Amino acid sequence: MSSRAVAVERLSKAFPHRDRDLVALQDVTLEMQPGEFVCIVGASGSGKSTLLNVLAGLDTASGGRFEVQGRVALMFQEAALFPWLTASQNIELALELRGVKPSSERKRQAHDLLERVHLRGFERRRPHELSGGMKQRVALARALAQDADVLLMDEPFGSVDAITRDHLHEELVRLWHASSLTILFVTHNAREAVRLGDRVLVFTSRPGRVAQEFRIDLPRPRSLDSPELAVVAGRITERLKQEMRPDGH
Amino acid sequence: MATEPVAGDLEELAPPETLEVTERAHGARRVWSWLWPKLAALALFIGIWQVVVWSGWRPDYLLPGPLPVFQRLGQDLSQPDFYAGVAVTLRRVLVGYGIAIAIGSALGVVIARVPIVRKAVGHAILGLQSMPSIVWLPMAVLLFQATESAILLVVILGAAPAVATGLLSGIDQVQPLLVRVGRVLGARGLQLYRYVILPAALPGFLGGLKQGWAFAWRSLMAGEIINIVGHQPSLGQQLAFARDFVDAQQLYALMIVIFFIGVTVDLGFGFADRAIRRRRGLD
Repeated sequence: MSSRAVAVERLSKAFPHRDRDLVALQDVTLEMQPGEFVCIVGASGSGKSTLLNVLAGLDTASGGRFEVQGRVALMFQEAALFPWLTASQNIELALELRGVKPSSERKRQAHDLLERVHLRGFERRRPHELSGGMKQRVALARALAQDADVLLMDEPFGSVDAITRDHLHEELVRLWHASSLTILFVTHNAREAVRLGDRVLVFTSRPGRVAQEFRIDLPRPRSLDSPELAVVAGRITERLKQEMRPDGH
Repeated sequence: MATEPVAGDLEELAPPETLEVTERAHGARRVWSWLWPKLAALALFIGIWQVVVWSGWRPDYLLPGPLPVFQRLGQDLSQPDFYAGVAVTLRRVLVGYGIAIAIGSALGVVIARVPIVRKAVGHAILGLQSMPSIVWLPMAVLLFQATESAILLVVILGAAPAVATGLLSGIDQVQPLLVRVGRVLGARGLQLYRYVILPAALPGFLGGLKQGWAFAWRSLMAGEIINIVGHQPSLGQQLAFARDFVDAQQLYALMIVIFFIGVTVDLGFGFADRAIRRRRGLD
């Protein structure tokens, strides 16, 4: 068996809530090959974010095992840039914490990374001077600065407008192609998942489990408006609705 | 292929320069609109003062008018002794305040980091803050007699709790998401404090520093007026002497100087606070 970038085996996570446990994840099993782009679709509260937090080491699992090859980066729904630093300094901090020296090298790399996300000339802007889409680009550049092997993305484009989101999709796919990144992308939007992923995993709600896997064989580049994409997304949405019905399982 | 411009949000199409705000052109007008209400208030105050003096409510030697007081202030300002007094007072407040910042900051971080310490002394620190600092003076005199150390102790005890409380509330208000980002980026333990938590807590810390300054300055004045140390002509000591010798003009002149120092430092804090807020887009 080839080495997998991500291997999750019967992973469970429960949070104590009042007098009982709230099960966020139950027996989640999934595998990702290096360089693969996998999307997870699920209703809110289906434990998708919990899975990413566990994989990123921000949270501990209650049961099961997981293994991630190499460095992990995590992008949140909010850009969560440090407001006291400029766009460039936000990225330089990521480089510094990774051990990149000296500071001139960090500046050079930050400059390159901002150029890669089309933010040339915005190095000295502070987060509050950037639009929502631009902030997410800086956050993406910061995640790239971690030189991670696996990039976890938690609904990163959930709060930007549709047109900006489409551009961000394009850039993300472009950056992914140009690298050997393995990406695990969480969303509640089936179209977005089909637009981006090699595979789409449908998550059940409470507790979160992988209900079904869809392999997306649509040729790239894909368009959010193509009828073929809409058909596949429709099937996934249908499956998602089944899960959300109270008698669905 | 990556060099063609990408049309995203509208702002992204604009080159960076066009978004700069051009405010400097109206600099003089802004200074004036900031200044004139203050000058008007000052004029009103001096007017009322003069009216009270004219009313004969108190004799001249107890309540002199503005003119003789400002004349006396002018005389003071031309004498080296006066500056020596200001220097003694400022040195004390800077040393005491500096030590209070060091102790208060360390205390704030420890209370924030160690839950058991927070449970033990979290409320006590707030209680200390409401303790009038003059209350510490008798104890300080017992421990250090009439020395500068006694005064410094009172200044430190007055200011350190405010600094600790400010830093603590600043740390408590740090967005958890930013801390998580710091951890994802690989910051651990002290690094997390240095790169994420302390910078994020800066606005709250500055509030604590400002309040700490106010407490330090009040404590020092109380200490200097009550606890006369040797032959050092500090501002507080000169004020006490002016009262003892019923030198009212000198007394009011000194009060103006003390007020002026406090206002100047406060302006500095206000300036720093606005600069930080503007940088972070909090306004």
